[in-house]
Amino acid sequence: MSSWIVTVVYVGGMLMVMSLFSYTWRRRKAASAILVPWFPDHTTRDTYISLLQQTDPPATELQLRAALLRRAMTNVERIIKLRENRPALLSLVQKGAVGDGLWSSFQKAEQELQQDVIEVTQEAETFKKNWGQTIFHTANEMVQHEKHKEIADQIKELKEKEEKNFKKREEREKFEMAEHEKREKARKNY
Amino acid sequence: MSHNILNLVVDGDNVYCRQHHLETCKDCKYDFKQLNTLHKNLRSINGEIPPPNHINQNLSKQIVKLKEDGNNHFKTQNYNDAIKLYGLAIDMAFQRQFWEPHELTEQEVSVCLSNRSAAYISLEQWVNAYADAEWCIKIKPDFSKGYFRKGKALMGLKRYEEAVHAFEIGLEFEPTNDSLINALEEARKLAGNTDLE
Repeated sequence: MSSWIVTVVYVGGMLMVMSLFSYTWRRRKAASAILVPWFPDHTTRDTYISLLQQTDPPATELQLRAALLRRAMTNVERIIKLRENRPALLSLVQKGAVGDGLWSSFQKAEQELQQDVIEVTQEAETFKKNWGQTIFHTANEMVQHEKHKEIADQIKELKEKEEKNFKKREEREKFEMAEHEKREKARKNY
Repeated sequence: MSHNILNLVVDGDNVYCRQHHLETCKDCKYDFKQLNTLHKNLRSINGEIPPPNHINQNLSKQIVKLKEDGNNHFKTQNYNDAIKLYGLAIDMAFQRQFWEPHELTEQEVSVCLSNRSAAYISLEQWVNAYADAEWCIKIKPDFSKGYFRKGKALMGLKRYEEAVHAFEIGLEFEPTNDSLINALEEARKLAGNTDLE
């Protein structure tokens, strides 16, 4: 009877010590981990706000509109990125392959982005009625236009590389052909 | 959400970093080039961005005309002239204003690129044909003809295994296309032969 009690107390005590250790350990680790921001600084937003505060000389309305559009473009790019990353990250988090910190920083980015989209829409309305409804549409077209330019540059690079490779291969083939002919000739003469 | 205030200055039409008066400043890590360019573009339309889905119909007509002229040259095997006209159409389509629908540009450009690639294939200019096909795919990844041209160009370059891969992707988008099916079969045979060597 007494040996049974001793076993229960021993195992129970061990379990308590272990869970206490695990609890404090995880809490300390979570506290020391700094949430790394998902995106770098929102420079176009900072530019817009800095331009608003300019007084000597102040920014023109068109300058502010341009700055707001660039800010909306950054938001569009970030929306696309978050949408692309979400499913992959979610499955990694569920598998436990990445830490909760990454997921928290992702969610924080989503919230901040939502907030900034609302702010941009409100700002747009101050310039012109109903601009808030179309600014993100325009921004999206602009992002896609810039993507087209990027693709054109990539193709230019690809073409140069392929042309070089093609020339190299042609020369090698010519050389091999000449070698082959030489050998054939030598064999015949022999 | 805290923001940083940038040390910038407005000077006429442009924004610069205050310290060095530069548009693109490595020391301050600022780059206002895109902002200033956009500002210039907005000035030309007085800040009035047309409503969504506003299309320059005149440009569309010109592009269609150039493409059709190119097709006529293609049919009479006048490939060099066809290539020139397709090129003009492509340049024109990329000149669409930034607020116009990008899908339209993609549609116009991908057809012209695919046709130009075909003309290059007829002239056996394989690298040019390959580059145009790749471009076409990057602009419009669901256009099966782009993969067909890419495969054909790769066959010309004797890169049969890559050609097989291109045809296979093309068939994913259009599983009953006979030219793709036949081309895949031919490419597979040639790819098999190179394996045996």
